[in-house]
Amino acid sequence: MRLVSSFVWVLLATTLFILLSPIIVPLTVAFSEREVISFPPTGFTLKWFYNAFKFKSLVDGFKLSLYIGFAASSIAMALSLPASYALFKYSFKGKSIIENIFLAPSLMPEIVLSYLLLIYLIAFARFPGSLALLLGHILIITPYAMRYVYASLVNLSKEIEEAAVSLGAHPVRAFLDVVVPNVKNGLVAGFITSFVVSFNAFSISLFLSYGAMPLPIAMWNYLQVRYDPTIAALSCMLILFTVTLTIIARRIVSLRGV
Amino acid sequence: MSTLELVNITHYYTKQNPVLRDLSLQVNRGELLALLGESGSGKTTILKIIAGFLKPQRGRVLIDGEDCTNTPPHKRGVGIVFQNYALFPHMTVLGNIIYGLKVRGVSKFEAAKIAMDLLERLDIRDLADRYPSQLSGGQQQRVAIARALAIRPKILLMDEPLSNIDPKLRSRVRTEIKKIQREFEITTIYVTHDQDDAFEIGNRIAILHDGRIEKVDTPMNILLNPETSYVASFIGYENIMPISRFKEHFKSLSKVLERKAEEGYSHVGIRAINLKLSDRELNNEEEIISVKGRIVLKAYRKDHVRNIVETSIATLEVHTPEDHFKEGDTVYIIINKKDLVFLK
Repeated sequence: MRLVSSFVWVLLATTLFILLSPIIVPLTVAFSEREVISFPPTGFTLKWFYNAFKFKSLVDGFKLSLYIGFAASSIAMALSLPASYALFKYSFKGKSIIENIFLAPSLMPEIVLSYLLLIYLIAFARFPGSLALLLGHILIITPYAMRYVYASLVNLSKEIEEAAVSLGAHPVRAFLDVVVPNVKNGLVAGFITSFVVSFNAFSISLFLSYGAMPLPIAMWNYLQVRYDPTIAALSCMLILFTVTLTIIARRIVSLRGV
Repeated sequence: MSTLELVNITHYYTKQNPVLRDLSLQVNRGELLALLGESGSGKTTILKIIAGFLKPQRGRVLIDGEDCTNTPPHKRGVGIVFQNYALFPHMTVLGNIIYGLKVRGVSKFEAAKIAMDLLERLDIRDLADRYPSQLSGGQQQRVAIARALAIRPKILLMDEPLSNIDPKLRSRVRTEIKKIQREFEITTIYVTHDQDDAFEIGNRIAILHDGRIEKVDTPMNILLNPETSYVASFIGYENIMPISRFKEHFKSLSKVLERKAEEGYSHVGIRAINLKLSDRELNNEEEIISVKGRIVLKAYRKDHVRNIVETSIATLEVHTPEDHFKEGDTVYIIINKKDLVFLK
């Protein structure tokens, strides 16, 4: 028994190592004093972290990614709430097909979607670059937003609004009193998740950004010319940033066991 | 205590296929009326019309004689206990019960007093601070009842209240609902598709069929005189056969049967528990007739044996307390004439 259980522990540790080492090991170079990326790191410094803030393209990229993430997530939520509510409230022919379209983020590879949008929005419709970029982000994150909002509605009884109305609440009040509180967590969690997805989206940003560059593209461009550990330092910060957001989203969702 | 009256209600989603056709129904003050119908018979539509969530294409809804067909649901004062209870998951039991009072502007103190009194009377005082997800089905149901009663509704609607209750507990829950209904003296419509449910709970039973109320009466009267073959078969008459088949076989009955046929009756019904089996023919022209048959199948229930007997009239089901005969035995089915029920 003992042997088996220690074997299981070894397996677990190995798996964890395989999963995490490719992330953690290269990040150590972010603290390395040498100008080029090398392993093992030598010395200890935080200068690459400062350096990341010195480059205008990276700082601007970070800001742009924040703006786009915020705007796209807000719009995605605004689309998801009514769509989820309609799916929750009414049954109709083809409902499950629509559900699947809304809820399957991986329905289309991001690169394909990016390419199609490039043709459609920029070549055909001649949208200005920033608008195309925003639209592209909305398109890829809406399924994530939908997923959270709809999931928080699905477990709700369809009759709770009618119950509130029968108890004397005006229909608008019933919606605010009994539906909104139950989707609130889904809305917040959906917002954070879609923000993170938008923030990390690469190919859609690569295809649709003309002029202004979101952070992933700015990082990519930086790497084409320089080989110092600045991007590693930035990566450390980004991991911390998105992990924090994701943990917050998870916590919010699990509070109510949605 | 209020009265409820549905007058000539017609409702359809598609014109060719009305759900309710010219339906009328009267519910008396303080009565517990069981509305019995198969699934798809329009029970839910009736509930929604009474509650005000649906406006019928034709007809009126009267509460205490007052026309409220156009009153919106939140002003109607009709309490509903939903099939799945529809408790507000983000509110405690107390919050759920108080909600209706809160939206009506009752003061917090007053509302809490009413709620605590209800919790006490329904014996769920300990649950006040729990959330619905922490309650059993039966407890949720009590909370749903308390929530509906808190607003002192004129009418209480209960939609299939036992469908989420363990079958073993159903009889007990029925008794409890009956007690609560009596104690609060509230006019109640109890919707169900289950005849046992309807018979056990209702002061009267209204049987819904084909968009109309096929029959309204006390359980006993419906059982003794179902009137139509639909009602008879729905409430569990095992044996229903055309009068003509009967007439061919029982010459002694031909006069009576002919007269009944002229009055518009087409079928004869008899309950399986009213039939007996014997190994000898028994014919006393006054009261008893018998028919020869063969037992083709036997099945055991807790309190009787089901015998399926093939006879020249029809295949009849006979329930006997004893188990005297084997499958394949030739037997005589003894029919008491007074147990025959004529059906339209």
